[in-house]
Amino acid sequence: MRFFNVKYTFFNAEAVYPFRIFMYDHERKIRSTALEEDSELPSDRLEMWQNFELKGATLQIHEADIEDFFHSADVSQEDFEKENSVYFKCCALRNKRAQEISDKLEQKFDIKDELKFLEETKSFMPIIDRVRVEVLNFPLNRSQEVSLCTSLVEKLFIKETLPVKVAALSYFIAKANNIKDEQVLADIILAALFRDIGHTMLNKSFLIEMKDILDNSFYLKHPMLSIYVLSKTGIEFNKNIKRYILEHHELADGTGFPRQKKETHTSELSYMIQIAEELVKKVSSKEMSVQSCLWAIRNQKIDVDLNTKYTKNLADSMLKLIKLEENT
Amino acid sequence: MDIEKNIVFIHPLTDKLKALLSLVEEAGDEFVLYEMDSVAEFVQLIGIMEHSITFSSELEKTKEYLKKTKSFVKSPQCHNCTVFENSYPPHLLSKLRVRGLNQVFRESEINEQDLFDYINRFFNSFEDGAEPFETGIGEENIGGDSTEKDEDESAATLIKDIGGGRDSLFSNLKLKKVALGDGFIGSPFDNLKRKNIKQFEPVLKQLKRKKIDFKPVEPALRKKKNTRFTPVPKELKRRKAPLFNPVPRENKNRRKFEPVTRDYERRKRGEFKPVERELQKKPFKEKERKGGLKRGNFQAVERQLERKRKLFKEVERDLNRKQLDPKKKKELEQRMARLNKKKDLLKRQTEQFEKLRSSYDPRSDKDKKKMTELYEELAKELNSQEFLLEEETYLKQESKTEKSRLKDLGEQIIDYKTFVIKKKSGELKLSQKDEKELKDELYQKEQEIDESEYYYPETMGLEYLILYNDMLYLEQVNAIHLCKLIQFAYQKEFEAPFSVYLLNKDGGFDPIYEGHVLNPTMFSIDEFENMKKERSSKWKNIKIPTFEDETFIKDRNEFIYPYFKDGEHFGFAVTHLKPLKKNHQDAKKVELLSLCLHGVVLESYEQCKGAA
Repeated sequence: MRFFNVKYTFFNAEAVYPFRIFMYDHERKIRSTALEEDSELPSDRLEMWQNFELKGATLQIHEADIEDFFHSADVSQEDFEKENSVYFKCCALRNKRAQEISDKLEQKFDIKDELKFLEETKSFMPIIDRVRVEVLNFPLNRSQEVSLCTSLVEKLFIKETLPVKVAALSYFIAKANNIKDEQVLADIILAALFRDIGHTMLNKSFLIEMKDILDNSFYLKHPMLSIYVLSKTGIEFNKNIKRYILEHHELADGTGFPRQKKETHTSELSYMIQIAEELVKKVSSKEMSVQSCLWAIRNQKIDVDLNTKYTKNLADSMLKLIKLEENT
Repeated sequence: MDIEKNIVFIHPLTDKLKALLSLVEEAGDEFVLYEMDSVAEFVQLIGIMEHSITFSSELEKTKEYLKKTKSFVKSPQCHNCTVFENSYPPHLLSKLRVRGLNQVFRESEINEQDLFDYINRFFNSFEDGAEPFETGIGEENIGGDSTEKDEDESAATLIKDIGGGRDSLFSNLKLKKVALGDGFIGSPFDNLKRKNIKQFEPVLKQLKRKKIDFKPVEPALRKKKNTRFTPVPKELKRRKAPLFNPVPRENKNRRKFEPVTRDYERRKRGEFKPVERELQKKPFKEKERKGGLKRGNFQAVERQLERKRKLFKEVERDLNRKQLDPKKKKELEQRMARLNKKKDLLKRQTEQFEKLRSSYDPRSDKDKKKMTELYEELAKELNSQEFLLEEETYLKQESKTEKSRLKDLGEQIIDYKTFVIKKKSGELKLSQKDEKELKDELYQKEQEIDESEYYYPETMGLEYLILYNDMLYLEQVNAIHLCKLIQFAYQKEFEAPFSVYLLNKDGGFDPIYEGHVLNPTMFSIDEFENMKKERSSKWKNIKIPTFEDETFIKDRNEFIYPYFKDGEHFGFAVTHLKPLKKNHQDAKKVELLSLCLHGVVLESYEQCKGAA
């Protein structure tokens, strides 16, 4: 953290402070100098700062001036921590997580090997654990979605549930496509977890008898219902997450739903979530092995049950998940 | 009918009028005679008299009295005559006629007897059976255009119409009848009857003027001719003023002014002479320049300044003096070195001690000896450790005071000559690199990426949603299992009971899951049953998710969530909450958990519908 928040009550009028005081405008995201170092603080300026604070601006000091601040400003550590409560809480949480995952993070992990072992063990837990370890290492000052993703992963990635499996696989498929940005990876995980929460609004019996589900108009609307349910949380999710949720049943040839989008009109990350879902279903139902499934996607083999029609780049990226020793 | 015969004479009178006056006086009491000098008296009189004839001989007075008594003199009962000595142009006389003048006589053409008959005829015309009065004798043609005649006639008719006739309706000039038969006798106006004119003899006042022989004033001082202006000598400048001796008054009652004898004499003025100045001006001489220096006298000032002003070198010397003495500095350094040595020793000894301890064999004597020796040494060092600490703090303080001494040098007198030289040579300037670095550093500080915004992770109840979503696909899971999951979530987050109901055709509702009864923590079963009966209608009629207390302060705050499909209300969920900590954030969580059960309640409703 470069800048710490302080209050105008920490300073006294007609005092000289040996550090620079900044004023940060959260709306415009602009920082300016409120008082220069070694200059007297007039009483008018204090009143002005009070007014600015009421309007939403915050006074800040640079981390390098913390010692001088404590020496000259007569502020207790408690008051200072109260003013920066979120930072100190996040720091404590981060330290706690770091202690938990530091050893596991250093361990080697190869997704190809794990996907191969998946056929034998039928357990997604190693993949889920790895995702948990890597996601808990994400920073907490990136965005609200990243922080939410870390908290959900911490709570949910301890048990093999369908949304968790899909989310874990879609994470590694995204990484295989050279996606390293923490924001994008968090968006994929969240989209994979929330993609089917619209099913809660539907009659439960539809979901069990999946034969004619595609003829059910209510089922075809479930992506929109998922976004409706998300809106009730009070959290403003970014557009990417909403897009991935809406498009997670779209196909490259336009035979998907709800909007029958084609190829590049659909985001590749939406296709990744779809691939992950297909993989999980096929593996869980023991219809196909993971490797054969991946090869089918790679070769763009059309199968009635597979429903896999994706872009070429995405298909080629499956090679990164396939161990090339075995070929079907 | 007897009428009062009033005759008015306005002075000055001509001879003929005077003779007429004497005739009227001889007539006795037949006529009431008035003599007046001023028009103001006539104005006061005319309003009282009924029948009157007025004689005047002066043009100006005639004009005046006719003007001032317009309304009265124009009546036929009031006759106005003039006797002029001179002849006047006819336009003047016509003006007077318009104002009310009835007759104009010429002095040379009329006598007093005719006038007296004229008077009698006038007054007799007003008596009963008398002939109407007509002007015949001495009539002067006043002005003779046909228009004027017409005007006369019209004026006469006007007068008749307005106020001439007594019987006229418009008469507002009717004079009141005098009640007394004798006219003014005995009335307050008696004094106006007849005045003794003879007594009145206007005498012009003669201003008493003093006779003074006016002589021009001779000048007291005579100017001397061709006098030279001589300056007043100094001695004359400051002179004492002579004492003023007041003259004693001899007699107050004296009437004659006698000249006062002057005690003092006027002194003669002396000749003006040029003043000799005490201070003699020295003639301006050039000073000899000494050795090229322009200001010879400022040497003393410079010496003084030199004493005050220090050279830059001297300032440096002062600085050095104020620093620590080198001796003391050395001492401190030596003490620091000794301290550090002792610290190192201590460290080594403790390491040895620990090594020994790890490999200590209590049976061997060697180890014992070593241990005891080391232990004793350590003990000594530990005892002196306090002293070391004190020494360390002292040395730190000294080094601090050095810095503070250097800072508190106070005012310094700096020789700016060296700065000027340095500036000219360019030594004082920051190099471009340094300047840039400074600016960049300052700029970067302001523009640093805001890493201060941290987001504390909060799930907002979404983990329950995902778990619930996972359970939907399991065949063995039914509605009650799902309701239990939601009840578990409510209990964990809010310690709240939760119940779900399905509306039936009869207007009542059937429970799908009653957490209030299964987990009676907040309410007893009986309490809840009673509450259900009381509030059943309210619960059925709520159409939107509602909190009983939207401030979330109340204990047992009721929350109702209705379920709809295509506008049809088919069920609702009920929870009772404790006061919420985060208010609106928690309220969203409560609503989200109830929303999850929409599919379950819908399934139950459709099953019931199908069954029906």
